Amino acid sequence: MLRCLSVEQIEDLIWGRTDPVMQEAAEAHLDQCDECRRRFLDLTVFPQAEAWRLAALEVSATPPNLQERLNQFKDFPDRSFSTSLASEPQPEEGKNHPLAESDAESVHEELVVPLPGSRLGQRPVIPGFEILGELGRGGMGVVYKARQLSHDRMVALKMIHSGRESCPEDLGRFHDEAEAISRLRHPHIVQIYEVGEVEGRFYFVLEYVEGGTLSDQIHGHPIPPRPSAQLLEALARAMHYAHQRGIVHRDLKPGNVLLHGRKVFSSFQEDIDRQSEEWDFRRFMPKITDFGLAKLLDRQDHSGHTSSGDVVGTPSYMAPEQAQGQTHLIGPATDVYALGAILYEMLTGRPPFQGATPMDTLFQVHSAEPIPPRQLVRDVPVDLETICLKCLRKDPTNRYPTAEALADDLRRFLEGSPIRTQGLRTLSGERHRLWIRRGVLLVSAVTLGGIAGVTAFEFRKHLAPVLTTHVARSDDAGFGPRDNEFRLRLRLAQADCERGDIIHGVGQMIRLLSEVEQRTDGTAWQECLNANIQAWSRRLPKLVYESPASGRDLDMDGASSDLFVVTNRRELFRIRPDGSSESIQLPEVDEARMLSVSQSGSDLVAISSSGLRWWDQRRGELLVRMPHLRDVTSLCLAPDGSTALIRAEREGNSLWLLRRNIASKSLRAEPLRVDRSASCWAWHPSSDRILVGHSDGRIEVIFSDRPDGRQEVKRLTVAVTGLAWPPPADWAVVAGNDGMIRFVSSGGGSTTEEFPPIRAHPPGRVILAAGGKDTIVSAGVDRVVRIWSASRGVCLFSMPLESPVQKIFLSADGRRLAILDAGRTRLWTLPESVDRSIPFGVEARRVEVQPGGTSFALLVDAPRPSVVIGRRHDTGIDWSSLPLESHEEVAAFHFQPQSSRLGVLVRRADRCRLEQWDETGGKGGDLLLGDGVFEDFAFSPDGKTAFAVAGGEVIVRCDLEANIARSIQVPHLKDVRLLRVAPDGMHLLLSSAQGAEIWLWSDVPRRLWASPSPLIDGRWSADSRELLMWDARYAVNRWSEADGLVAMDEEAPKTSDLSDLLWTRIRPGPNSTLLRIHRGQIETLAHWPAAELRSIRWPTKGHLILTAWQDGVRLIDGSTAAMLGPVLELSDVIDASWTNSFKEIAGWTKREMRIWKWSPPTQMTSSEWRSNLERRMGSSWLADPSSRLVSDRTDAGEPSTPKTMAPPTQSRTASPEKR
Amino acid sequence: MAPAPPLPPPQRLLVESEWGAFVDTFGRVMLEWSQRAGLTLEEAADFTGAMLELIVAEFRRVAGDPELRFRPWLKYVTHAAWCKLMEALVGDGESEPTPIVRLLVSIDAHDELLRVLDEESVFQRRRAILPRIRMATDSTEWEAFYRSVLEGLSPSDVAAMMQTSDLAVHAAIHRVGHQLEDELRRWNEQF
Repeated sequence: MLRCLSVEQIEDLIWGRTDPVMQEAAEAHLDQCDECRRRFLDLTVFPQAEAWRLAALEVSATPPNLQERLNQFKDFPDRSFSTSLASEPQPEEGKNHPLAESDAESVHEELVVPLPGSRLGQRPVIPGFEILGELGRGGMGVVYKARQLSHDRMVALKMIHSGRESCPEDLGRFHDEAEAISRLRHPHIVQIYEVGEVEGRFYFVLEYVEGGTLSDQIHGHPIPPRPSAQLLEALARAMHYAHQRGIVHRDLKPGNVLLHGRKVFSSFQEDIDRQSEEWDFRRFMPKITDFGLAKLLDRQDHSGHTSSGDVVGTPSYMAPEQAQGQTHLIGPATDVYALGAILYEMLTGRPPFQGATPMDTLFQVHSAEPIPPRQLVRDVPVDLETICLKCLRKDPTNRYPTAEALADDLRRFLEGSPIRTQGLRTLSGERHRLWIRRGVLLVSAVTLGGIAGVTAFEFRKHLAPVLTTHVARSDDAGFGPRDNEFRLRLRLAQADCERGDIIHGVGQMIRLLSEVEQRTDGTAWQECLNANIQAWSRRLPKLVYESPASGRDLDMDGASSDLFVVTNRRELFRIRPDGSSESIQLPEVDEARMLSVSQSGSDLVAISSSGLRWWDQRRGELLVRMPHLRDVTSLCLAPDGSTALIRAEREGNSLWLLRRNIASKSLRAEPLRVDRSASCWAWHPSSDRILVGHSDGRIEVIFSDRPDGRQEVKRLTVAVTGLAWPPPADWAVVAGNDGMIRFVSSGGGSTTEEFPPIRAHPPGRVILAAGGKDTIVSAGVDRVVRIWSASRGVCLFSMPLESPVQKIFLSADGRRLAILDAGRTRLWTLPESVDRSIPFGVEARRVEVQPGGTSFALLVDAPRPSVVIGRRHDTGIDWSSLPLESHEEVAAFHFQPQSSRLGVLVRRADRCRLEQWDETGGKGGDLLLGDGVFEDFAFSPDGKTAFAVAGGEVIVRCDLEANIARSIQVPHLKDVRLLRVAPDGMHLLLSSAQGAEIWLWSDVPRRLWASPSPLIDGRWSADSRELLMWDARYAVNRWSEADGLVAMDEEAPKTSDLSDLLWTRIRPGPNSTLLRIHRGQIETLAHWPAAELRSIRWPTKGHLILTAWQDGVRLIDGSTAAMLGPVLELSDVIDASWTNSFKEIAGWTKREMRIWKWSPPTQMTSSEWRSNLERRMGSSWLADPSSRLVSDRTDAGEPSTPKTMAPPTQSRTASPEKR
Repeated sequence: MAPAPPLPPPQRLLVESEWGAFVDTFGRVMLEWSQRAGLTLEEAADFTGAMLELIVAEFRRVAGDPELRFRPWLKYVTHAAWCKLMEALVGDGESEPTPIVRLLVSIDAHDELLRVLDEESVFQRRRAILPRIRMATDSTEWEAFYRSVLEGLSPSDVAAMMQTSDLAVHAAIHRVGHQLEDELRRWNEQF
């Protein structure tokens, strides 16, 4: 043993400057010598550890109120700030007095306040007044409570801020306010008593109103309709009085309405509730105040205290023209709008628009329609809602022309007389017309604003379609804000799931479900949430095994996916894929700490303190023993079991091959000529080469049969920390020290795919496993295991673990995942995202799928044009090709409803036949249609009748049961593009570019109706007596045999199947909109401005709408307009359909069909779902399932727990949960 | 840990985005400090706003100095801004200062504010340095440092986890820590 080490020797040891032999000896000495060990520790102490640890922690977000303040200071460099610190007494009761003209939410064009002068810290002294306290302050001035000594009365004294008297604009506005109030003598307007100046600072003296403001009293609680109307009438008459004197207030809001009373306001709400019939003006006298932004209409030479483009006022109560800074449009109608906003808030408890930020609010004021008050509070009378909404019209000319007209209509309402403004129905109609006129622009604009304000997470392309529905629906009449809130929250939960955080996303859905369970009208949402939870939880891994004892090492064989685990109890277990386990008894299994098995599972090598053992584990035979091999730090057996790769630092080599000689039962060690920089490695499936990654970024292939044969395949700029080389080994998966996963062509064959790198984890060590077609599993320093689709680069699932992962294995089929962490071994079964894929082999020109069945038909051109029918069964596809002759041409084909037959329109020269074929390719019928070039045909819903169109001028009706074809001429229509057969098989809707017609096929076919406008689509009622149709202008009309054509918004359909629900797609491709016609009203269900909608399958049962998009198939719940489950991903999908009796969904491209299983939603309660998921995921892993499944988070994914400020004594504290 | 952007040289604070980052970092420290000192949020905001404004004014006076380094600059401008603001608050001394003014106008408060701002600048530098060193360090060595120093695990636990000796972990902590401190020192000299 060495003698004690010197300080220099220890430092050399610390810095790696010692040669290996000396190092080994020094380390051995340190193990034995306490004194040297103490010196070593003294020299390696790192006193700054705590500071670096704090620096590595996530910094808690700045609390919103502080951030708001900070944001005010960012407009460098021309902003200065108010610093009237402690200059005056504090406001009474901590409130801003409304007379202090602007509060925090006011948008005031003048926020600049220069630094105070030198007289701060004192109350002003004003001759004749005793200053008693401060009522409030704003950007321009401060309001004091004072006693006017000459009259012995309380007054409010408003004084311009010290230092601002030299600012001409401030001074101008201050004078304007005084002048405006001095012109007004009205019982509902605060009076001015006196104007003065002291030491160069101007002030004016106002009537002191004891009490609170209307804002204080509303405080989120609606006031009953009648007193609301009475109060607003008084305010409107007061404002009319002001308008007549040329004064527009411009900042009317509940906060600027004082309620004069004697401190009885704590019981104000109770008083209102108790005597809800009348407003008691004797007790609560309203007075309008704060004319600080008032506009004097008669002052044409106004120097522009507010210039064009300036935005002044309070966003939530600001008229659109005010919000846009169009000062030339500001007039009495601007105040009428604000009065409407006050009425709205009194009726509903909230202002008409209220965004997350003032800018959001301004955007809504400009672009969105307010939610009708009755949707928020049912008790609001229709007439009062009509009055309120008329005040809030965007166009000033559509509002009440004067405040008096508003007051008069309110009076009529109070007296029970008919109001003068138009009824609600008309307003609704106008809204529909508005929608049609403004169309997509409005919705898109609102959408943009909404998304900017609401969502902080990334806006990926597949989030776009459904997110936009939330805002698009918010201005429709039939949906409440609660629905919009649910839809948004559900969408956020879905987005979590799409990012791979399914556990949290499903937890949020369960939480939503528990909220919905409290609602009496939440059935539709319950069904929607159940479907979502069910669909997403199918994508959760299922825990099949968890080790009872702590494991030391594990490996998985490639053939059967059996997992071998060696435990701390000196036991060896085999875990089968189903989770069953058995103990393996092998000789000399003692303290194995490392384990490796061959691909076949027969060879098993273990390394323990007593050396290496090599078994044939199937026969239980010990093959080789190497007792001296103890310093191995890593072990990896070749797939064929012939060679073991070990890491042992000897003779300058880091990696060694141990070849087994079967005959002599011995091992031969060969160095691999790799230095210590080797950090990870993987065997090629053929066992003849090894991929080695280095800490200097090199990745090289070393051939095991000729250790000097090597090839550098890539050099990264970061250290390689993990490797996987999945079959066929054309490419390797490489993890770097930067947390990225890369795909590197490994020279093992032709690389067929180029995958972009994945940012998988925070920088640090990442370990990998790969399996299946394109599944990768990674684990990083963030203690999260993520499962990736390599081809798409998306995270399918992420699992946060409590401790660092030591090993991960993925089975060859990619379905089983084994994890060893902190001694625990767990085996999971991973779900398959695609249940079945059917490649066509050729490119199909057209694909038809039998509705609800399992057959499909392809129109192919190669090897020769023909129709191919495919019939699916459990084990494969039966293909049959229709025996068409070479001179025959297929014009169209459709599956016959209520049957498995395929109808094919076959053209031969100028004659056509309608043929029927069964699934096996047998002919079931053949009907000659006659002369003419037939282009398409359509079946009736019962499949017994078909109509075929020839050249647009001839229609043939085919009675398929009687096998009779009968034709008529339709000379007015050419190139018929739309054929809709009524359920009775007798009525027919036709449309071409020339117009549309409805025909009845009785003994003598006759035309029932004709129009010169072409149609987009139509839908027959079940009794075939009524038809809804929509034209290219998106107008929806109703036709019935009894009434003829009636406009939709004049009279609702009479038959229930049309009046209750009807779906329509009005525009495919980008900018699609989904409408619902519900009880005679057109409602926008969803709007997709960016994504491309390829097709829609309307529901034949339930409310499930199947939609195909450019990136896959989505199910949409028609009742809630929410997406159900994940996107079924398939690039370039053409169409999708239900198949197999609605148990499956099929989506197809020109070359492939994919099948996804679908099961009707299981209706469970939130608690049932919770326990169900705990069973699936394993309760031991979900140590606190309730917190993990239902923990609340904001949309940005941060814990909602409020972040507290650091206590005064600590400038920064480390919280354990932040680590 | 989200990497922090490096603190800009003082000259670049005239760029609006960097001024915003400065406000977010040091404005927040001032806001929190003044609230801890007993000011209400409104008062703290006024104080912070005034200080930032005065810092800008001071900055403009010294921005042309090419030798300017961030840490001394911050101390200097904060000190200068503090003095001006206190002068304004105290006024001509004829009237009695309010308790808040009395609280602010003290050497202790001045020193304390300068200290917390300086601490914050060092803290920000540490945050910026960490990812740089992480990229330049051997992965095993970094992992040992990460788990023991940044995650707070004991070196022996880390050694067991990484299947190495605890002395090796100590050595790794020392080596990486040395690099970090070295880098911090270089930054201080450079900026």
